[in-house]
Amino acid sequence: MALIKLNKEQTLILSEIRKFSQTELEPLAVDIDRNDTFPVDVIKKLTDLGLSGIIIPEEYGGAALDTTSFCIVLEELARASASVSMILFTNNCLVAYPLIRYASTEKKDTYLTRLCEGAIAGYCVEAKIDAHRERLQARTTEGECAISGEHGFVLNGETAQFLIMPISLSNRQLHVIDIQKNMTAAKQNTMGLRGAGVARFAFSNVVLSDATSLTDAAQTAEVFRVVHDYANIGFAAMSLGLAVAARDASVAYAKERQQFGRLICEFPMVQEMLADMSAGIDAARYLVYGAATSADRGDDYARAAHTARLVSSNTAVFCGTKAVQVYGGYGYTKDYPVERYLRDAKTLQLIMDTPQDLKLAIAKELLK
Amino acid sequence: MILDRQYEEFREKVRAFATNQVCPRASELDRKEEFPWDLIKQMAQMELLALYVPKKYGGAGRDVLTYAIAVEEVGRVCGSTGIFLAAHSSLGVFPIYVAGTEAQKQKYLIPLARGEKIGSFGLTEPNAGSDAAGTQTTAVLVGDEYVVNGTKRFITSGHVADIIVFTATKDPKLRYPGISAFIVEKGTPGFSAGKKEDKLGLRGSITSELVFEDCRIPKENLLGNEGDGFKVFMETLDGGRISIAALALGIAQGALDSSITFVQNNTVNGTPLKKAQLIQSMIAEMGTEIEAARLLVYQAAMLKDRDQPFTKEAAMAKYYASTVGMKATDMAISIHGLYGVTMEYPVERFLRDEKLMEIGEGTSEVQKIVIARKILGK
Repeated sequence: MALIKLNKEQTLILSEIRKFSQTELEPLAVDIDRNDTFPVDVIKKLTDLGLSGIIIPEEYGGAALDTTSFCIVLEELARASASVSMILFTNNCLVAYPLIRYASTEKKDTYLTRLCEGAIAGYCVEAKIDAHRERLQARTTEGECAISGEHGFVLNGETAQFLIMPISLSNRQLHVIDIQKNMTAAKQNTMGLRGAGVARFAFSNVVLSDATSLTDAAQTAEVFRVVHDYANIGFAAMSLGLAVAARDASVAYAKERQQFGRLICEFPMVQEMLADMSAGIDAARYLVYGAATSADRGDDYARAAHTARLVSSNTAVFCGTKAVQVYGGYGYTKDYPVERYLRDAKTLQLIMDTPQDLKLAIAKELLK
Repeated sequence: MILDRQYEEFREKVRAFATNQVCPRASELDRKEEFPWDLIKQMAQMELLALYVPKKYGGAGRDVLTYAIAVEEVGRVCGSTGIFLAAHSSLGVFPIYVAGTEAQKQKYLIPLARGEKIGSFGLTEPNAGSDAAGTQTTAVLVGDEYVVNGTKRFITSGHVADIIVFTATKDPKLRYPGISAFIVEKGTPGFSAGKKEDKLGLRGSITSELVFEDCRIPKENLLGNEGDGFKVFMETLDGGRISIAALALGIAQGALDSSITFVQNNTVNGTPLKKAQLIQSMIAEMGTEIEAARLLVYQAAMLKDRDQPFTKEAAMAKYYASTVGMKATDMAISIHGLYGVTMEYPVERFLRDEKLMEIGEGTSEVQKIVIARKILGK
């Protein structure tokens, strides 16, 4: 963290969250991944620390932290458990953020307050492939529409009390809707982030209307751009945390493990892997906190966010893969955390904007 | 098609088996950590378990290239079944075939080759991985028996194997010259299979410890001469690398197959995925690199079949095919997008399975050292 200059408040947050992450979260991380159960107790502790509404204004009971502090929290949590980081990320970045930016006073009062009290909210990640998207059908009648079918990827879905649903009907809009009897959630079997409560939802005539709409139609394009851009900073911070965890584990293991009568950290090929991991991490760190600083200053941060996530998520997958390699046969087993880092990193990389999406977005910005 | 027709005909036969029998079981084997007894029985009936072993020893009397094709085709749909086949044929069968006495071949090779018994190879230890000469397991001759003590780890099929070839040393300080190879049968007092590994991938194959506690092994179960252990395992690994390379290739091809199907059948906002240039770019890279890996794998197998030196080529094939395989399986997930990380598609399993190919039977780093030594001289 020495690469980035933090102010007094950010420094305090870093030391608090790191302590929590290392002492309270780390020991639970294996079970959170393996038991596929949503870590209710951990989320409760985070709520008690005032972190369930990290970016939510104080008037609703939130911590009202800046983007840099938010990234610190996400990174530090992801170092211990990317699943837990993802839960907090979803609540804040994908649920609270659009509410703060766009919702009516009434919706803000209702939902932001609930989030700060510890409610878990879900986010339906839009499918890009037509066949996946068409699993959800909408019947439109005057002023409202009824949704039926399956949505396969709802973040925080397993325990969500309400959902944010991006829906493309006559126009693409965000809706906010409470969990109802005509919705059923089941676990989505993912490669990683297995404790993050990713669910597949079956909807049966769920009614969306102007009353559930979060935004007015005129803002639509902007809303999606803004939410994605902000989310990309958060995703980048979580990937960074995973990459750091993978590197640190590799360094520690390389200093313990002996082969050919020497510590494996004495072998240049091992050193090269550690150095490549570290170089990627340092680059990603500048990008992540650079993007966060831009956001805090109110500058246009779109390209910074895209670049940060592209580099950071690729670095995390690289570090996860190399960490398993440094550990060798042991790394391939669940006795060590590195295989989890790889699974989590790959999963994280493909939620919402993928590396391909990010590259095209960066090019678009360069070419405009 | 660069291979003779007989090989392509054989490939068709194995592919039909893989597609119709193995593929429908693959996801389940992974999720339930189920060992594929049923598929092994079928592979035995098809004479796939010892393809390069002469018929008089229970094999199919074919060659290493045929064997590589079999591993490739099975691995294309299921890494777990593929690793069983590779471990049984290359690690269980081979050392006895190459170093066994006629009596050992009659007693052990024939039932292994026919698939009546399952074979395994105990080399790796908790503290002897890349450094295989660092074996700590000891075998001391007492009268007509060797008394063995020690623990092996990460042994493919360890828990289910009936006949296991393993290495032990008369004195760990001697390193290479101290090591001998032995055969032990399941059920021998003092010998047991220990802890099973909970793994990232290949979850339908069993990897476990082998524990020797004052285990007495008759003198006639020494494989080769005393002190030949290093030679036996180096030869075994040279051949084994071809099979791991073939498996890495097969898994990579499976990832490409799945990607092709996905790309051909899907659209984004009505536009076919196959028209997307970045998708085309990934498919082209995967296709080209997999083809190059295939040529390296077949080259190594053909050299072995011709009794020409193949150590360098086997190491190159394994290093390259596993590197390409990791890239291809990673790309395959990306091509499938969000749902690529779910078990709705096989590609996330392919990546988890493929990662072992960079580790088992010599890590990529070890392969590079072998290759560099061959290129540069010692």
